[in-house]
Amino acid sequence: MNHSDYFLNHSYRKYGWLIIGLHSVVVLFLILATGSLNLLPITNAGAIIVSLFPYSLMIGFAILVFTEEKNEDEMFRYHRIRSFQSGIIFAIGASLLIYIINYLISPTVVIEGLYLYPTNILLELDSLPAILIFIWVIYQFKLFKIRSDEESD
Amino acid sequence: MKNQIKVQRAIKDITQAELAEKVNVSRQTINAIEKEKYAPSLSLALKLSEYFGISVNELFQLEENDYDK
Repeated sequence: MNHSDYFLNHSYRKYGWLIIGLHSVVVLFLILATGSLNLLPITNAGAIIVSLFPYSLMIGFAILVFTEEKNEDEMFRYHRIRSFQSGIIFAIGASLLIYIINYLISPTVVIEGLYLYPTNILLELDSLPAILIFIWVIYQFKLFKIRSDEESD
Repeated sequence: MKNQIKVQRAIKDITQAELAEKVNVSRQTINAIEKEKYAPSLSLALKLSEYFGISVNELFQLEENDYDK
């Protein structure tokens, strides 16, 4: 089994963008509908945003992260797999940092929610879109560096 | 890890894109290998050495700090 067995063809990437785009439009519409347009009561819109938030973003970014480049070769594959590693490490580091900062700012809040706080960030489904976004951003940054390092023959 | 790809490419008078096509990778990969930003897989190293007609040891050389890794 090689690495490409885990990944989707490049042509699927547009669906990832489509889902993220639709998610953004719906969230924007709901914010407008409750705000300046005054079409929806804020509680209804809030509930829709909260229920929409992790799933559509998660699916969209998962598609982006799991699709190959157009002409993918071993170097791109290597960097993509490394970005998974870095993304997860970065997410864990960031969540621990948030925990420490929260503790420094308000120790009592953290102590009250001690059993909730680390699991909330690291294990709950809500954190998955954040990890996928980290992976995507790290991978794109790597690609940007590869392209900007290029020199002509 | 040092390599002689740029030198060998100059001897053969081929561009990065042409070499990339010969060994079935992207031009960015050849560029990254030349600039020592990426260490190729064993199969790619073998393909490159076969294309240039020299051994892998001649094409790629370890540096002092590579022994510490």
